[in-house]
Amino acid sequence: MKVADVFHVKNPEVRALHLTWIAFFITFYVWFNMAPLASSMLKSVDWLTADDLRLFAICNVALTIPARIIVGMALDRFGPRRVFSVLMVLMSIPALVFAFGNTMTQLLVSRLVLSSIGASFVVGIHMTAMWFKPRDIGFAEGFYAGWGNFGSAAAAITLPTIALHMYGGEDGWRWAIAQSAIVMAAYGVYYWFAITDGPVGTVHRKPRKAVALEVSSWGDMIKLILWTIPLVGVLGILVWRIENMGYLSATGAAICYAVIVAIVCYQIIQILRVNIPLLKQGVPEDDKYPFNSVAALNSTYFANFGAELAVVSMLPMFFEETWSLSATAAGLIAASFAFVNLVARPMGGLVSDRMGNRRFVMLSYMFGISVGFALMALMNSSWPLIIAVGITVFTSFFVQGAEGATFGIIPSIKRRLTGQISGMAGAYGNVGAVVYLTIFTFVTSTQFFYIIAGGAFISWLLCMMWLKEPESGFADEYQVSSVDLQIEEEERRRQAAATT
Amino acid sequence: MKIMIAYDGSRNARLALAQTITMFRDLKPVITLVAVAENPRDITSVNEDMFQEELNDLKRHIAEAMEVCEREQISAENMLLEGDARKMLLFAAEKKVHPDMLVIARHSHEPDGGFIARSLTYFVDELDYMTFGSVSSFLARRIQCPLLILPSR
Repeated sequence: MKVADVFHVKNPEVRALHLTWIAFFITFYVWFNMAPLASSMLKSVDWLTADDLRLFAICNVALTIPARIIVGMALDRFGPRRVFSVLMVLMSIPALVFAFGNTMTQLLVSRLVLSSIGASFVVGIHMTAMWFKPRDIGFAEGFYAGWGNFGSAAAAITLPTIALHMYGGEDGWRWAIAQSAIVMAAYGVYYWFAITDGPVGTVHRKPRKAVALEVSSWGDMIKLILWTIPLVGVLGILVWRIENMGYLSATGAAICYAVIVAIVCYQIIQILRVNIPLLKQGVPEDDKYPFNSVAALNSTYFANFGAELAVVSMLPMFFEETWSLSATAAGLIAASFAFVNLVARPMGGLVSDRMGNRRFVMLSYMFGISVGFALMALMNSSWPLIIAVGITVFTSFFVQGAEGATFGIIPSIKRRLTGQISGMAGAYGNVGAVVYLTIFTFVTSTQFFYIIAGGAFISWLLCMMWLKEPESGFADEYQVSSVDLQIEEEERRRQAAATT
Repeated sequence: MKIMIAYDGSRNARLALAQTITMFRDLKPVITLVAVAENPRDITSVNEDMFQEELNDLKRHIAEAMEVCEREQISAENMLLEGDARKMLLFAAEKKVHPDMLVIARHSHEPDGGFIARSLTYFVDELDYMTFGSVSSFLARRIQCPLLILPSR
């Protein structure tokens, strides 16, 4: 498949790709419809404070991880088409509630529920995987992810304009959010009828769903347990923060903590149940894979996608306050961060494929991120705006390229477990977002950028130590048995001819 | 004379095999056909069936090529590997086959379509070229045995 093939809309698989990235685009548009309107909300709703909005920003990425788990199960049962449609229609409800919410509780809960929409990424990846041949799939998924992610930029660009100029008035932001929700619901219905799960005639195979990731050694199992705890455990931070800000009673918080601990314990028990029998038997040498690489990639996704989600949620306001711009202009400029997605993310995957050394590509990208965010931290109102925009674009080029590079390595760690490994790494992106946004409620924008730069640098160090260049398939050799027999027969005939 | 051919069953690869046999027949070559099943760059496990399909295709292509060699009375072996085509070919040559010569067919990307499609393809090819992306240039830089690159016609 060449890049140019994306214009051949008549091909069913290209059509499916376009339908799917647009769906993903819309879900991202709705997911990030709050950040660009934050200042309008503050102006029109008198009881809202900036701290509340920071809290909403955390809620906005909170339940994505549990939602991923549920969506993963649903995918195996119902296939991506139905799941995507239902997800879009269902999630338009909390979006509408948020649009017309009049109390703190309504806004908070609807944002929390709406955060489940982030699980749409997995659905589309599944859909894409069903349509394309293995050799084209890397490009197709990169294209899907990059163009779909652009939804957050589109929201930042268009929403302030829609809110201020199309609707206008006090409640302009409400109508703008409501409009995005209604469009999403409508597209969800359309998607149901417009697409099939894979080319016609594909049987939707239910994959063997392992409940936990397999590992290769006892040490790796300990590491896996350690790396599993934050996946759900990170929600504890959120509960603590909500309680701190006084929106949750001590009893309510205790119940939430108990639930989180229970889920974490359940996950650990599953890990033990899956792995102890395997490890007791002993894992054959050629079936081993280094868990350290998985850990390193978790950290990279934490530091790049997590940073992206966090930065997208705060950048419009940062520009607005620092350079005292209008909401529309700030939205446009902040969108430059996500605009780069269109090229950078597919390119990250492409560069990772093309260079001989994926590890080197990953390291370079992570280093670039830490430099970029450190530069962003230096920015203040005395800097010319154009330079600031340039640095923002530069940084985001590395951030999104690194996302592409992360998912460029994942498929070659251990092919049998790719689905689970990528699920874990993807979830770590959300863990990163929750952690960063929680930190953001305590610090100024400048300190925040330094912290993100530090996170990327730590991830770079981890990659230096742990990430191994994937040596895919060096152990897997297939012999073509029928042909093998032919060769042997030939040899025998030749020998027989030689002796006579 | 041990000749290794990177073989993927494409038209170019078949031509390369035919050419190799024509050129080196008198040296009584032992031809090793090496095919690489590329890992799907996919991050789900949905695509397993398609990968198996591709693997079976490759096996069939190799079986056909072996028949051709047999008809031409050239002794041939084969090997099917899984992974990144460039690295696996390098690995097979250095560690497994130790050929006296490696033969690969260069792919031609004839751009088709309109102006936008052409320039996009051109850009990507250029990127390929800059980052030694294509199989032939990757091997040309690294392989430690004589390398014969057959241009496609």
